[in-house]
Amino acid sequence: MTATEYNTCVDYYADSLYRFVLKNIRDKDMAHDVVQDTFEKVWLKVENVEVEKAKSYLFTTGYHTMIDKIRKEKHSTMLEDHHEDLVQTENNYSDLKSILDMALNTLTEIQRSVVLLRDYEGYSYEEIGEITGLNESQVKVYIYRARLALKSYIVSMDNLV
Amino acid sequence: MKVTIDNYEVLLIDYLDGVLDPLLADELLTFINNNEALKAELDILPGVQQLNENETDAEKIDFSFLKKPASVQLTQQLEELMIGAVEKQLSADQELSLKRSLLLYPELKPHFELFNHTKLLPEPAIVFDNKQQLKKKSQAKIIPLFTKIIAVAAVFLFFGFATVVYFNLQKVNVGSNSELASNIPAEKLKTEPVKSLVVAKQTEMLQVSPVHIGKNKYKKTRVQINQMFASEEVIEIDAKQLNSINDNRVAAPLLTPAIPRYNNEILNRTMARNEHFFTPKEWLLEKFKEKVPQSEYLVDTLFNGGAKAAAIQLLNNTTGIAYTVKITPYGSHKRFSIVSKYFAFERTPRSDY
Repeated sequence: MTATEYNTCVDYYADSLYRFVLKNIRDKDMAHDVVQDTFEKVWLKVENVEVEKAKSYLFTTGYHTMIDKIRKEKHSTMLEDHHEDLVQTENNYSDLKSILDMALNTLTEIQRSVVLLRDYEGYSYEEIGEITGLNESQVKVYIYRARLALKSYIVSMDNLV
Repeated sequence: MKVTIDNYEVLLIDYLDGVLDPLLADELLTFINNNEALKAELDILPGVQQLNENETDAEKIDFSFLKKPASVQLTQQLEELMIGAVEKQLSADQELSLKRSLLLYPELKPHFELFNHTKLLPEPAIVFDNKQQLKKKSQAKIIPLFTKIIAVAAVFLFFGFATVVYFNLQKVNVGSNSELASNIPAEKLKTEPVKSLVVAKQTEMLQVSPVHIGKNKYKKTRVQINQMFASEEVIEIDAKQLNSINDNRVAAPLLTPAIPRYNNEILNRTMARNEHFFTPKEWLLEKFKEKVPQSEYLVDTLFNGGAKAAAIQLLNNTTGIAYTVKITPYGSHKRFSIVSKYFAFERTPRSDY
């Protein structure tokens, strides 16, 4: 991949990668850092990355960078607590989107990642497996459980309303 | 067995477990009834006994609550189909099956709608605000971080090594010069400057010729330090002492361009021996103090084995090699001394000296 192609990748994929990371970790600064680190890592290997696989490579690198960051800063625990508070206090939701947004936060880290990759980026089970290091069956199971959890959350919110 | 306050607890447990002898059980209950403090404990016995009776009928517990109704199983299958539909992973048959199920059980349609709502939609409003900072201007040569670290470390090591070497050299020069200078009269330090190798060589080459000299002159020692002769007088006298072609050949290597190579060979051979090495300063002091008669100390430049001006210059300026040549009527013998800034070595003279 040349510098020009790399810069094109920035134009095409920076937003989607940022969305994916932000939805996962819910911290703008941290998401910003992850995206920046990801592109720096890709730039270091730019000569070895094929343009056709650039997006997949970016998301793989981004996913692992994000996981490393979460583990390093022990953010996940803090995040869960924060989200629980959010769910408990924010009852004035108005539309399905915000409910789904909250429902997403109730998922486990891996469930959230696979669903976001599936819905936001339209990756196949196999591609998601490559990005997350899971096999195809595991991806299917995680997505199945994630959908059930999301649906249950929506139902519970409907009941509350 | 008599029931007492000490053993009644053990007996009571046996009684509750139903393993106490009936006679002993009666005695235990009487004991408890007669003891007001323990009577309260007896009150719980009917309940405990009831529990025991229930436990014995464990096989009668109804586990039917674990069973799943057929509708649940059907619901699970339908959920899988619904999620499959959301994921667009259903085959034609499965799609047909789902449609039929939804027609048969219209109450499941809202569930299917909910599953459809679990599909997340990207939010284009969320963008990475500063893409420019991610972009690279050109595909410059990328140097990995560890390579950079190694390069920096190498530079530091180089400068560190150079600094150590520099200070060591300074120390050697200062120490040598100060001690040597303290042993040399001031007026002698102002003697004639040492000739350069080139000048000495050219002069000597013209002067080398076989000359017959007397026996009393045989044991002259000639000194060459750092490929520079100690003084002009040394060269002239030495050259005149050569009394044969053989002697001339001995003198010639000392004075011709072949000297460096010759000396290197000597150095290599000598270095291979594990013999004692002096510091240059020690070696020169030895030469001054032992070989030179005290009366001629620092005056004689021909026999002192060190040669004052050349020795001083050697320590002041450069690494060098010194060696002596002993000329006899039967040939010549060489005694080598190697002197550098760092060490000095003198080869043991041969036994026929």
